[in-house]
Amino acid sequence: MTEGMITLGLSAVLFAIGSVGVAIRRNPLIMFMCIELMLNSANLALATFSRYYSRVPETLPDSIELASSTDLGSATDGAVFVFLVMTIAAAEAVVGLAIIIAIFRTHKQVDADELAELKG
Amino acid sequence: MDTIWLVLALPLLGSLLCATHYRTLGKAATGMVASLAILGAFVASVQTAYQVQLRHEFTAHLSSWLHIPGISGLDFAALADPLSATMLCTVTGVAFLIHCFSMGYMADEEDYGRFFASLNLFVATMVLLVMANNLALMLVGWGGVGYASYSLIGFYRQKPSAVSAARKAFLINVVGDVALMFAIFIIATHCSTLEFKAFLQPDKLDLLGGDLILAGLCLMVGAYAKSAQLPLHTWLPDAMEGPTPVSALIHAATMVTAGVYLMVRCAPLFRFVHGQELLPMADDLNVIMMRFGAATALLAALCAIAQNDLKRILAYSTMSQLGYMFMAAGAGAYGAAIFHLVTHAFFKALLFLTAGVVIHALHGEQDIRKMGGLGKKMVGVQLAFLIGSLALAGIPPLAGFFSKESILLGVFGDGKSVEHELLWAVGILTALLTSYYTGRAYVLTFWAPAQHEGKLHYPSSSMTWPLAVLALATVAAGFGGHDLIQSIQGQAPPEESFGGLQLTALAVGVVGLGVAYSTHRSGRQRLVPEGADPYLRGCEAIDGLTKSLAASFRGFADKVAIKLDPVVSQVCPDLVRRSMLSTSTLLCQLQSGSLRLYSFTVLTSSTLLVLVVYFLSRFISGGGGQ
Amino acid sequence: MIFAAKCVMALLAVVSAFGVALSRQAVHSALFLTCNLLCVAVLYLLMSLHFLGAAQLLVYAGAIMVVFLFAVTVLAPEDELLGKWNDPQRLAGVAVGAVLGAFLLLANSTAPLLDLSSPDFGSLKQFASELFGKYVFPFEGTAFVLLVALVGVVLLGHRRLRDLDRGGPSRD
Repeated sequence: MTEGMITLGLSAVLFAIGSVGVAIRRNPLIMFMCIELMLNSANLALATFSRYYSRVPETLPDSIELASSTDLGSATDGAVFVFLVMTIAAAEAVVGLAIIIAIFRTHKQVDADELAELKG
Repeated sequence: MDTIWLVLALPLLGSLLCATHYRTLGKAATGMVASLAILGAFVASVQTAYQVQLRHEFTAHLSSWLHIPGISGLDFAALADPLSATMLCTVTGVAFLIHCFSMGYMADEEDYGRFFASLNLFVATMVLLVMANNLALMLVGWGGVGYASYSLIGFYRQKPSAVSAARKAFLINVVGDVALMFAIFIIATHCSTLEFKAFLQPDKLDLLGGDLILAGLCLMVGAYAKSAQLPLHTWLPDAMEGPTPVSALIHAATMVTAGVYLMVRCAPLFRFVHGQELLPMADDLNVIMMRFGAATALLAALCAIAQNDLKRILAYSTMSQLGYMFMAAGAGAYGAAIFHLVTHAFFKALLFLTAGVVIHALHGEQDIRKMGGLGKKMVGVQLAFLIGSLALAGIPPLAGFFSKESILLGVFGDGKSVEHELLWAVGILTALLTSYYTGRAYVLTFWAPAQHEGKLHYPSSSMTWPLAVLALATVAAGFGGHDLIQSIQGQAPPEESFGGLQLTALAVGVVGLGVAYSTHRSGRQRLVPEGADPYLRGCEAIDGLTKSLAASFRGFADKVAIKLDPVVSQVCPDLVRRSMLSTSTLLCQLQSGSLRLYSFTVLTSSTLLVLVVYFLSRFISGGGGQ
Repeated sequence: MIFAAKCVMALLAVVSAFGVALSRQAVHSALFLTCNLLCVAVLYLLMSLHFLGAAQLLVYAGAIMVVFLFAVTVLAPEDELLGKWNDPQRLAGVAVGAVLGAFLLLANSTAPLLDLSSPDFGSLKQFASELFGKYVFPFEGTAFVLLVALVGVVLLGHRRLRDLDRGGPSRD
């Protein structure tokens, strides 16, 4: 059980909890929070790989002498992606909440089970 | 740009103008435009022929056309040499006269514009066929004349027989097109060029190896379909359903000779000399060509005897004369073949046009048994037909005598082979039959007691002067033969003194005519008893064979269709309808609108995706030897 | 020491995540989510990803959570009854989620993780040179996405425009 394993395992558990939350809750706000939870767990996995997995191609020879070849990507690649995902998540949260509020305005209630207007 | 391109461009332009501006131009102007376009093309052809005289031969590149890696010589380029110059002059010259004739002949027709547009299009495609410097471009013209012929045979589209004749001609022509295409494929794969001057060199032909005979056979099948040789001849007699000027231009003077032209153009392939000896395979091809040519000549002549329709007699006679040309090509007398082609173009066009005048005069009557007595009423026409008939029968000093003579001499060769002597005998026999049926048609039409009543429809002057020009050409063309053969063949024809062979041919011609005159002068309709007809009409038997084959196939297909139809037309659509309905009902249920169900679906499918990726990666890395 | 800290933070994050998913009140969920995000931010810091930790605090725990809490107070949703536990759809959701989590854990456990980072790993300088060098176009792309989101939210919140679309005066 290495240090990296803790965060990686945590990200898996958080993702699962978030997905279950989306599946079982009726309140769209909470569903939305669960989605944020999942996004966050994915970020955590990215950060972990950035920290512990970077520059390791496949298997590692005994004499570790890694080339600085840019093909393999650099250590901060994952971190940059975490940042980008965060930005997108912010945009998504704002739009999503605006939609929820707009629905609330017209329907006077927010219950996922009652919103079935797209029934085919 | 060389003037040779004008030969192609002017008829094309004329065709476009006639097709699009017929309404604004009116009848007279449309005919004028079409004729002038062809006249311009004729002048350009003569100019090209003059250039060929000066420069011997040259190639005019216009643009590159197809790009196929590994195959060269696919340019849009024209080859001008004595052969193509001769052909161009003949085609455009005869076409011009026939255009002028048509202006009078078709004056009462409704679809004047369509007729001249098609006729001009035909000349353009024929010119393309002749001047192409490679096989691929030639195929374009080859298909084009097939189409133009189709549209002109079926010109009277309200007549079911004309439409079916057009369809038949097109189908059989396509057989030839496909064969020619296969020849192109074979030559392209082996020689990697399609330019005539390139792939007909000995070192390139060597590359063909054993496929030389295959390529030659494919070329021959293509030529046979276009030139109505046995066994692909059945479309030509039916093609007489078209207007008579069309029969004169396409089915006598020009298009049907395209096969002969192809044989002469590809002559080095058939004359491929390997070392000192003629390659045995090439020799086989020549023997096949000679025998089929002789068979066609003889059988078509026999068939012509049994015909009563004036145009069909001429059609079979065309077939028979084409057989002569193929015989000459097979014997290596290419110059003689082209010489006969040219003279035949003149006198057969003359005969057809005269026949057209006669049919016109009798208000569409084509049966020679119902004609007669026209000799005194239409002296000029009668004279024109006489000149054509004498040329066809091979009476000196008309053109037909010289050209047929050079063919017979070419076939006879040095007279040391029995095969050649036999073929010569067949040729002589055919000549006898030819002079007889020609004489019969002439005598029954003009000198037998009149079998018709009513007023004659006399031809206008625009119809008669082309006859005069053609008659003049028929008389004069024979004297240019020596030079023509020399320029085509590259060597002078063997100097023959007027000997036994010529005398035989002449005697045979005179005898045939004499028999015809003495038999039919009194109006007697047949020489041979009716019982002999089935034997004479051997050529037509192939038609019946095709028909019965097609009928039996169609009967079988009918039976299958009756069984299959309920299944295909009722069960299958019903099945499709039901399956669509049930599937859509099923899929509709997925669209529940419930947000939680959607999110659950996303969750489940992404879980499945993870599972699949996980096991797949395990499987792959396990296979990798971990 | 760091190991122990990570373990504690992970435990806290899991507990708060359950809190998010199972709280009856939306306000509680939001607060649990804040806690969870803070834990993750600490984990970033422990992995010496200092900038990310800071961004997490500012963007997520700060900005986004404020928006969430704002939405919760505006909507004031009633307490959601979680209902019976033997609701088949709910059970199926839990089961599939458990399978997903188990397999993610299983897959992650095979990852060959090694600490090979260079001494200046996580430094702001390196991060910035990457972000504004190699990833400048994706970065600008996110800026554009944010702009679009902004415009979209303004449109969604614009009451009069919405009324026009519905073809009548507002009903509220």
